[in-house]
Amino acid sequence: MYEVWKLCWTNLKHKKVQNSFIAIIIMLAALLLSTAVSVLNNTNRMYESMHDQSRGAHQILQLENGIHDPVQVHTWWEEQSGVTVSDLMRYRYLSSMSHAGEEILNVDLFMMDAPEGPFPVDRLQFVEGEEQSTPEAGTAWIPTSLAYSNDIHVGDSVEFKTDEGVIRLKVAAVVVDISYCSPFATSGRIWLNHEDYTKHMTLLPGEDKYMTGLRFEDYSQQRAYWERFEQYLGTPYLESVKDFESLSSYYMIANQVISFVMIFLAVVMICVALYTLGFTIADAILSNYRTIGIIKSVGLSSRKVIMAYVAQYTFLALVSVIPGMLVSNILSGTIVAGSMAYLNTGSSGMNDLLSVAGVWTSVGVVAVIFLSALLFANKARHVEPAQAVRYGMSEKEYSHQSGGTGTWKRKLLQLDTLPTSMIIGLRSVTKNIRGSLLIVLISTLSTAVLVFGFLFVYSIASIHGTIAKWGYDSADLSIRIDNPAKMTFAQLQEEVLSDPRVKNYSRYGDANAVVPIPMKDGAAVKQDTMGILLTVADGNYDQIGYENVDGRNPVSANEISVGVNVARTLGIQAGDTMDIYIEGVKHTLTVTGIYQAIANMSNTGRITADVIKTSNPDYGSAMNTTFMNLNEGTSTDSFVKELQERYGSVLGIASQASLVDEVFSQAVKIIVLPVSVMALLFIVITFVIIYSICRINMKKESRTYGIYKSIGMTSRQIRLSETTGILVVSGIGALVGIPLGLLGLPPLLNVILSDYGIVKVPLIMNGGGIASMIPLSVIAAGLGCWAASKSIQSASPRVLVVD
Amino acid sequence: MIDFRRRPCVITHNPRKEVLIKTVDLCKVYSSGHEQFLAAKSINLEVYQGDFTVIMGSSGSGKSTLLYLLSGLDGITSGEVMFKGERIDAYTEKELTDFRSNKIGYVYQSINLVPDFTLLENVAFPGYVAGRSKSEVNEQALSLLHQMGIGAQAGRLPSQVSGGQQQRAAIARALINSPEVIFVDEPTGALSQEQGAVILDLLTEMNQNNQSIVMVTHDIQAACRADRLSVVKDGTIDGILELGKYAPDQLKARENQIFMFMSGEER
Repeated sequence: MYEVWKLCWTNLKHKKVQNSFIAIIIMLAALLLSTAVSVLNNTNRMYESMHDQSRGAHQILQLENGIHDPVQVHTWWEEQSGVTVSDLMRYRYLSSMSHAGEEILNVDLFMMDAPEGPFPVDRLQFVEGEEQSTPEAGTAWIPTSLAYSNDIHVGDSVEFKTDEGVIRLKVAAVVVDISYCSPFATSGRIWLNHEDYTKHMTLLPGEDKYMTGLRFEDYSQQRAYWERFEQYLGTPYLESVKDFESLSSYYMIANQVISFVMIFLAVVMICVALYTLGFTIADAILSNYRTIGIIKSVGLSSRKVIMAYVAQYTFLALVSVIPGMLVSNILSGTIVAGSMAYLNTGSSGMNDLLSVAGVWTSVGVVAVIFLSALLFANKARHVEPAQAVRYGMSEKEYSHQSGGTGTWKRKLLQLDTLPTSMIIGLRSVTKNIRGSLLIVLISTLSTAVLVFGFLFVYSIASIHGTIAKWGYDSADLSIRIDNPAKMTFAQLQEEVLSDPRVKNYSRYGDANAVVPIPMKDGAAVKQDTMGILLTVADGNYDQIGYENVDGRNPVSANEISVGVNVARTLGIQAGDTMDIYIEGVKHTLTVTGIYQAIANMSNTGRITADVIKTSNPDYGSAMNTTFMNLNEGTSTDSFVKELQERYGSVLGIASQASLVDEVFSQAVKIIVLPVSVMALLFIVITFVIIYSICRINMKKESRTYGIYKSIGMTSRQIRLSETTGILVVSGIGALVGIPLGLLGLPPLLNVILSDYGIVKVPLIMNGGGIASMIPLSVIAAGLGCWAASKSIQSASPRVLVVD
Repeated sequence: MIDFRRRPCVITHNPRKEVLIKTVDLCKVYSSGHEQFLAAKSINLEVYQGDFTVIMGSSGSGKSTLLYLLSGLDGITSGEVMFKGERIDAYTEKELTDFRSNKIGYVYQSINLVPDFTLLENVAFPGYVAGRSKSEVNEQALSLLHQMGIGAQAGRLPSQVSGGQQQRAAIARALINSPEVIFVDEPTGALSQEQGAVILDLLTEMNQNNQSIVMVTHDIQAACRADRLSVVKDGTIDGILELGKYAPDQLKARENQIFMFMSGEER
């Protein structure tokens, strides 16, 4: 085997540049794939680890409408073996919180009457502040999701506006509250001392609401418990229940999107790396055809020649995946730390992210490289010594080459058709057709990734423009009545909504509903149910800009539009009817439309207030939010400012833009890094591969360049000619890459986000931005060629001809 | 399709010598573009143990092709090639690589050293391939390089030494596994007259030490070293001249003899 090692080592030692580039490509492919796998794996691992550590809830029951007796419900679950149940916790809703004089926009707060800790379910993890069994009087515990995004620390004072005035509390602890601190969450639980709760909350209008968390020993058995529970109730459970999937989904969404795109691109990159590897091995065999022939003529078998190539590239793969894996560890750590920041307790192993899956991925990359090298190196089997020495290639290839260039190519590349330097460059690329195809391919992919990356980031950053397609309203601003004692809706109409600058408005509230799911024939359970959150409008959905992917918004008392996941689960479409229980009352409604919404994963519906008013005429008083549009020419910001100055203590006023920013600026922060890294990697890959191809080709063509030089062409002219050829080829690739990036890759996002309720991701085309992405890969290609052609400049005609 | 079987065939045999290589109706067809070219036409030839056999012919006559076929470096189109009575044209790839490794050495016209190996590594490499001990092979390779007068250049790459030195290294490489025969293709073609003479002297000395050599050349001076001269013309053996062992003082006489044999005229 010494002879195999000798050949392998010589190839490694004497072809440093070529080997280095292959190593870089393998490293980047391993980096991307390993990062993607590690991000997915660590996200799940971190969440699951924290969920176990906190004894996180699998389901949370919210009893808000008085349909079922909270104590009866809680007691039944407590009696079940295999289920751990939290205390029955009282709470009230608030939607206003201020810190350091600034109102925190877009929050839905559960003001909890904290039971005695530590909690049996959803045990709080104390990040800041001393761990105690309950908050002391005058203090509150707040979740990391609110604290981190608003820079709130222990000792700070926070304020909550209520109908009765303002509650001021001191932050005594910042806690990881596993069920309520996911990224993009707008809701959070504020834990109050029992006396504070009684003093401030019970005085507010309305009744206490109740919440209890359930943790199953075996979550897969939960359906059986529910069947028994509903048998016990004698009716379906008609209050709200949050399940594990929805509790955990927003921890996963960003990383799943990123990882899925990364995995896809990594697979593409590995394919490119393998193609490049094949190209390089085939080229190495071709350019060493004579040497291989000689080696075989001294008795080395084909098997051992192949082994030498396989050993060489497997060694390169081994050496390359290690730094790829280490960098991926850092990169995946950064991505996971960014998206899972709210779970960071400082001692939860955020930095200990060495992923076994990442290591296995790298092993997989080495295995794939090994197999590819074996496949491509097999060409060496067919090298016949005499043919190799005689022709420097196989007899068949020699015979093929003797056939000459095609007529069309000859005509196209006649010296008088285009400038000479361009013809020389084009002849070079048409002669090296396999290399040129690889350049087209890598330019196509690179451009597609850059265009898609830009499109994706720009669309999320500019989400205001498509907010209705994400399931939100597209009104200019929202007004919430925080203190109905000081301002009723009638007063709001009179004082604000009748302002001539207001174009239109609608009043909104929400309601929980339960929908029976028809079961398939033969199913063990006769009927299943799903809880959905309803948006209730007293006004016009169309005016406020709610959109549907199919059908229209509801307008009458027997109509509903539903989210795509509800439609999918129920197997219904626009025009069908469905049964729905709202506040315990059954309604049969006609589905007028299907819409997509990222909020609540499209497990939602939209109805008019008339639906509920048929059974609850007082429902309108619970609708405390009004969305409005302003007439053209009115500045939303100045209108908001004016209202805040006049009604700051009784109304919560925010422009749509600021509400959207609150949620999606976080998403932009999370995706910008990985998408930028991916774009950068593809630019680097483009440069490296094209440098490598050009260098190999230029070595082969050195004699030709020597001749060009000897007849008076300058090095610069030759280099420009070659670069021009590459720019043309790369430009063709870029042109193919644009539609691929705009049309080919976005369906990937649809696939990932469909589980989250978005079946068609709304992307915003920005011609200028997209156009600015196109030249990047072409420039990288041109620079790669220009750098590779440096050897032409430094070599004399004699050296070039002799080489 | 070319009917190469109708070409004339020359049969020569010397019953006093042991046959090392024998061909029977050996034919080889090459393709170039859409054309086929008959490079060897029904060749019947014997190469004897211990002989310095020279195959001579003009450029394009098929002499290098014949050398490839005799050495098993190229496959035949039809006929037979036998080495010590065994048909090498029927060998499997493994048998063929063993044959190349242990039985023959080959010196190419264009030298063809592995460019990334030093001279020492080039010479030693066939020894490694034969599975011999590394230290033994290295020692022998260095000794051979010294014998060839290039021991001082052992650590240099081929591109760092002269053509003559490269050719000497190529001969040393051919000898490393003590082959039964070495095939030499135009060894002086790329060298100066002086360098060429040194190479020919080396080969002659090796032959005098009972090394069988088959050499291809178009150079009369090189051909003078032959015990036996086969002339190739248009892919066939056009004639065979028995010359006997070479001595330096016979050079002029041999040149004339060969010239007359080739042209039918006195020089």
